[in-house]
Amino acid sequence: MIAACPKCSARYRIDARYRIEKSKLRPEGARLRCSRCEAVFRVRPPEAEAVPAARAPAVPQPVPLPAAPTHSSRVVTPVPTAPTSEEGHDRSRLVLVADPVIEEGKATASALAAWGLQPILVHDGVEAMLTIQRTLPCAVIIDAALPKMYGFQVCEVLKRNESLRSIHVVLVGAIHDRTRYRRSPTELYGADAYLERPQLPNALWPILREFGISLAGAAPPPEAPQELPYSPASASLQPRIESPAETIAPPEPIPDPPTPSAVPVAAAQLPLDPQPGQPAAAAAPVGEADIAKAERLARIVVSDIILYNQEKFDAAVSQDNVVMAMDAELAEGRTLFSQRIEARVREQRDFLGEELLRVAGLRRTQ
Amino acid sequence: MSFINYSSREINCKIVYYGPGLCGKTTNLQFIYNKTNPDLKGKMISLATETERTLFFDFLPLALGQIRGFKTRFHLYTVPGQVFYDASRKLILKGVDGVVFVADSQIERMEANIESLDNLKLNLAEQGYDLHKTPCVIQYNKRDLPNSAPLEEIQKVLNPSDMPEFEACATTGEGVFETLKAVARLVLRDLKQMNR
Repeated sequence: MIAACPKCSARYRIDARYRIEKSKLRPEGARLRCSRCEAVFRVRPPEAEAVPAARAPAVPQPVPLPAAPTHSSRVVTPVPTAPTSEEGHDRSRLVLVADPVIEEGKATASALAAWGLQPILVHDGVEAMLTIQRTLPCAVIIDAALPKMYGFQVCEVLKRNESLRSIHVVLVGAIHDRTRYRRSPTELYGADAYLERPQLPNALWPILREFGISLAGAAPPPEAPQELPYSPASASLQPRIESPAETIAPPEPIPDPPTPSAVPVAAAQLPLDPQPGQPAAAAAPVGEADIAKAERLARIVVSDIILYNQEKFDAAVSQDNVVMAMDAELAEGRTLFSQRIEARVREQRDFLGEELLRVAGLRRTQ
Repeated sequence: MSFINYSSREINCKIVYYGPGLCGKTTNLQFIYNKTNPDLKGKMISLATETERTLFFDFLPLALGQIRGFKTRFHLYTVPGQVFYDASRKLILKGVDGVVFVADSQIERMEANIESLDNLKLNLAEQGYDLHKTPCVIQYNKRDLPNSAPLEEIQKVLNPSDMPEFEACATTGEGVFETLKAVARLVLRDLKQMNR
């Protein structure tokens, strides 16, 4: 039997190194100390977890801890209606949420609680790893950039460990336009599904259902323009399509994941469109400086687009259909443009489209 | 902010390679990784796309000797350079101890350099840092390309405050370690001043 250290991923053959025969491992497992990083972790015999319903572990309590004091990093949302096993808790209802942002983690946990699940909230990777080993949840929703140990490392360890492999993992990233970089979840360190932060918590509903977890209450309404979450099943149903009908309209801007420090200060990054209660800015005339700023940003965006899509751009130039071919990239650029350039300036002309055509013209003459 | 682990007697510092898209940040890290003693480095983690472009960050832990009995461990990160991915850049910049701004010397990327440097200042300011008070060096990369702008011109635009600067060609490794040493020195000096 091979066990991996949750901290440094060192792998150990249990019977050889620790002289513990797999058959002699008690159901609650044995505590081992990693000789490389000295982390202490628990190893369980795989069969103890393979049939959790038939053989409930005798000692470990897969129990969401009682409401933690405010200084603790673990918060458990009480769920009055959750089904219970003979010990009072049902592993199939336990879901671990590992989120470095306390408030967002709480929001996800309360959504899960409302669906009849028992969420356990942790805020760093090591704690997540230890909690998973102790409580054996049925699913884990884990942020990719956790402190102490990255979420994708946790995922990698889980999927490499025979006794933990059956736990469903939803990896949460912070990337804006996943369609450009979509990779299969198996490549993403073996995660069963992949979500982006703005999609939490509603997009979890179909994923958890897909995992076979029964949920209470009604499905949350889908958030209008967002894509379906990426999961193996949805991937097979939803190939990457770039039909003109889909790509002509620019997608709604997806906001940056809110971070506590960014909220009050990031004025320069916020959309500059006037708010409903602010009519004064709309009346201001468009000056040369505004136009110059928009043109500069258009040059930067188009330069990035071309640099990252050189072959596609060259092919589009030779076929004389640059605007159509680069429509998806232009849409992404327009999203950024709308965040940084005021609407009254944007309305003057199509800065991005014109710049793209200008560069295409230059490329053609070359 | 440097993290000092007294029990393991380790000083951990975070250095972020910042710059516009395709300026050579990942190439810098790859060169450092390939040329470093395997005993001194950790596993390089790279979240790259199908086209090998940085999706989120590259991460390389590196041990660089001892200071007063404390091991110094530098954690090198890159950011996605494309103008679109500001959220990722903000996240990666959290708790930074030192910055290497990698500028693309090509004339046609000069505006992208300026934009990226402005973005760096803004994102640092959001965390309460001032670029000029943060350990930072500038690397003028791709100096070997025929369309690279004259050095004086780039200096005037990107480095009016005379930060330490280096010419480099990250693919061949020229200037890569000089840049790293300079920023490491600044970080450790900063750390020493804070501890006084």
